[in-house]
Amino acid sequence: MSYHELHHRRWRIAIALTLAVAAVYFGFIALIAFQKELMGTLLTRGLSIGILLGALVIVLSWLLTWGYVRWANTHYDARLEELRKEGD
Amino acid sequence: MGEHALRRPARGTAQGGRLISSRLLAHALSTALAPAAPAAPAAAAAAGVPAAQSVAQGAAPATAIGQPNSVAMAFFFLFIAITLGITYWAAKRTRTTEHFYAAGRTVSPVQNGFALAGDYMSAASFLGIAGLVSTTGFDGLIYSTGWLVGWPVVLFLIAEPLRNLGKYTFADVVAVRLRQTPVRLAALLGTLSTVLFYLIAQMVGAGTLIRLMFGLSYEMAVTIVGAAMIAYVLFGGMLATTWVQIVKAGLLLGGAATLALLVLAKFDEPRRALRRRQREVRRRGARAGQSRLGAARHDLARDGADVRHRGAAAHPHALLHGA
Repeated sequence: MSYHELHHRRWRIAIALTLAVAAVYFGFIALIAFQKELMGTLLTRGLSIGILLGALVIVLSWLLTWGYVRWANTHYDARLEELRKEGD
Repeated sequence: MGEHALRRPARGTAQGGRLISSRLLAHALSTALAPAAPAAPAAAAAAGVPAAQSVAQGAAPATAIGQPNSVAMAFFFLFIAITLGITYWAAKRTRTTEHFYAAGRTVSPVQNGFALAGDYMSAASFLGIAGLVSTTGFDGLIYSTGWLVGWPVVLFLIAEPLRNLGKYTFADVVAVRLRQTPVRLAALLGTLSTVLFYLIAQMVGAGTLIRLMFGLSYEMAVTIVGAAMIAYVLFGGMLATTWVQIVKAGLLLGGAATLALLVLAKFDEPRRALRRRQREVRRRGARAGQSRLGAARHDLARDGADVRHRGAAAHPHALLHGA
């Protein structure tokens, strides 16, 4: 993979992940804004759907970050290092 | 994670060595001030006006709040002394641009993680959310998602280019291929307007908190906190702000855990007593309508989401994270 391909792949991944985070977060906020009753429904005592979804938004942010860091450490940096060596 | 870096430092990209110019200092100041919210006092400061006001209104006559309190003052000045000591230590080690902006890339992932945690538990999130939950119920927790969600976005879009280009600020990155002056002006305006909104809220929180704790005048409280924040960043750079945030994160985590234990200890039979208390609170909540989040607050939530995303992008530690 050339540097440009690598560069474009990184941007595709970064933009896709950013859109995923934005969709999840603004979806959550939109649900709060327009679906109050649904979000207020209690799943069990002390736990509403809104609280559960809020916690899931945070967990999903962790997972996406973990996934990106994993990809960048194992693929992106490794390939970048190879390209640097080839350039020398 | 131990010694394993979250993101390994890029090789051959660091280009430190230039002396710090006044322009860089000014820029660093504008971007770094926000997260440098001084630990405990500032954090408390952030706590948010609603909480502070309700305390002041509800309990003023019966408590010492707003009166000078020697124990609280001693802790406050002890904390200021320790953090200024850290700043002095860091200032002696800060010689190049890379030291100033990236702590010479000597911060380990675990240390940086604690510093980020300190950023996250700013006055706004730590005190503000506690205040929102106390006034609106658990609806107030929605605010804690926005802060966190901003950080992966910073990592994906900003941190990696900064790291790969060996640059330290957002303006440096966008200015690489574009005409310097207009790009830097635009970045300056965006940064300053974001930081202004962020910083004003933090400073109002800090000033209110210190006034409540020590009985100092609001103006005096804001001046002291502001001077301490400027000193941390201006003299100590990223190394000082990182360690101040680490101390702050330790204090907040320890303090919050202690508080939770004390609350549990206060009830003889914790679960039953807590449930009784929950029922009381729920009855009150039911009277106020099922969802206690009013329409006005939803607008606030939407505006807040946007500001928070950009606010997170102004956090130096989040940026350093990728560096």
